Amino acid sequence: MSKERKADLSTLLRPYENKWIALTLDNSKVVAAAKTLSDLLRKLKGKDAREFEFMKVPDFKACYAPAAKI
Amino acid sequence: MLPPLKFDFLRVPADPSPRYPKRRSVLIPALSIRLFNKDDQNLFQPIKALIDSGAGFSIFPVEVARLIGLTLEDDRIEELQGINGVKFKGYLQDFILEVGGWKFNSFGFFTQANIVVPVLGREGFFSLFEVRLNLSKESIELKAVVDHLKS
Repeated sequence: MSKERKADLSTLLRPYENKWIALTLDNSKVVAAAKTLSDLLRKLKGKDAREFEFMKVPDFKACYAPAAKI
Repeated sequence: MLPPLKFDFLRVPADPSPRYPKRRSVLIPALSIRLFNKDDQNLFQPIKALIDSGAGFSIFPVEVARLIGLTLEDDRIEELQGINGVKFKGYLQDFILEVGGWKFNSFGFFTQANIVVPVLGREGFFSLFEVRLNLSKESIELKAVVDHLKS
């Protein structure tokens, strides 16, 4: 939790619409991506999941209700 | 009590739409959190979750519960309902929630359903913090209303 995270992931996440991803803790890099979290964990097998932050990348066309500002 | 915890909204990709033809991204109120097993804090998982005042409870994928060694018991299953009316089942479980480096006792549901996104809801998140979403400053401010855990 010591590294500062990036707050703008609009470029980094562009290839990963609707995917589960594993981010480095500073959010500078996507280390793995998959359609489901189970599949993502399989891709990370042998690695320590605690070293990554999981995120579900939203659909780019739909607007989830709490999304707030363009 | 803690001073207010401050975070930025998260900017994620978005496609143009008829209403917003130049849109390439959108800001969402997502936080980087960590969920810990209460009995063994070596078991934890960082994850991003969306602040959602419309959700009655916090909801996470069941895989996260397994990663942090939570036991999901059949007698703690409850039926939940999404905004689209679809019902799904979730296991209620206690855990430690870490936000901004501070830990709090919390609880939420873990589900096998294909959830859109992990959410921080009213019980287990809004019950811990006074939440202020400031769109003009693109900032999130959390003021704890309960004591944090001492390490």
